[in-house]
Amino acid sequence: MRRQDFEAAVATHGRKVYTLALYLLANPEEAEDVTQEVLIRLWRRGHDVLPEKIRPWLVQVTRNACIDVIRRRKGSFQVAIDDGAGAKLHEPAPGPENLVHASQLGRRILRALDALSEPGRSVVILREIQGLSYQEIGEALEMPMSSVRVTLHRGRRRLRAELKEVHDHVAIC
Amino acid sequence: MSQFADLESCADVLERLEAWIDGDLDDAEAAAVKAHVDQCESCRAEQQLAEAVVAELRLMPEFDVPEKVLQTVQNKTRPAHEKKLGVFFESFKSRPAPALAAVAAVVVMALVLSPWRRPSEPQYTDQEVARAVAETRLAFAYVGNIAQRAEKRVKARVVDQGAAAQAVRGVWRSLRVIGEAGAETADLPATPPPEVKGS
Repeated sequence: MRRQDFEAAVATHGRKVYTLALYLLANPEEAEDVTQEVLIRLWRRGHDVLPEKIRPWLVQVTRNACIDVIRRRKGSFQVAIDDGAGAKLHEPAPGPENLVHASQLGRRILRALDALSEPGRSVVILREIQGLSYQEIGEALEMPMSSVRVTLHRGRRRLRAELKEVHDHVAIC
Repeated sequence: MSQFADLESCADVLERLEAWIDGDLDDAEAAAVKAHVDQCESCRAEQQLAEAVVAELRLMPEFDVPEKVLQTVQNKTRPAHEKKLGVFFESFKSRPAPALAAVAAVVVMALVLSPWRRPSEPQYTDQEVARAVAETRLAFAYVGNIAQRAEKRVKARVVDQGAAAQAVRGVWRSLRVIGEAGAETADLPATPPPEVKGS
């Protein structure tokens, strides 16, 4: 990959990479590490990727890197959940609701989004927050477009159900 | 159980709400959901919540890549020779004194070795240059003339030597004949003719 093509790709897609990592990980430091890793990988492997496929490729690589981080995080959390005196050795992620200055509903949505399972969470982020087309999401996640659509609706339905539960709980209390 | 046509229950409608909002239902299903929602207060509230979720998600911001990440990527993807320059310039920030000393040394060396420091060439007039050229030509011509004459002289000498040698040989041959004739009478040894170089 030529230097100028790489720099153009970083200028165009870097924001998407970092945003996806930040929403998936809800942790700025980890998102920075993943973004750095993905962009360096783009520099090394970019010549294998067709120019029009760079965006889905970046999404796929970023998502995989985030899933790896989450797996490692879960592993370390299980090992170091408690030091016996009740104090947590492993600090949990700051929480997605702290990433943005969102409305109260927005903060609740982010918390609910964080609780979604994959691939629903990625599809909701990519489609609704990042504005990717069904086709781009399908290419990145290697899913047919019909599955992307179904997964998106299921994810949003799950968010709605979570918010309704919170709403009902608040109303009862 | 729903009291509305085509869809059996609110659950059926709620399962289709997101697809309906996105316009992904076929016309018949979309009409059935709309008819249900128009008349069912709880499903209408769910529809409003579903739309609010989408609206809130679409308001979520995207984030610029932090400058430090871009800088690290830049450093790790630059060619090696640019990295060395980068390290040098970085040293200005961390250790300015040695870096400035290095720059000063380079500047001093450049000044010492620069063409501006060399003694200036003398300036000649066109007339002087023309005269120098003419004298040089004359000198070369003189040398050439001498060389030509020397060559001729050498050739002449060689020719002369060749003729002399022939003459000497002839004399010696005569003398030998005479000597052999004399030796036959006086019993004297025969003497060979001397070697002549260049023959």
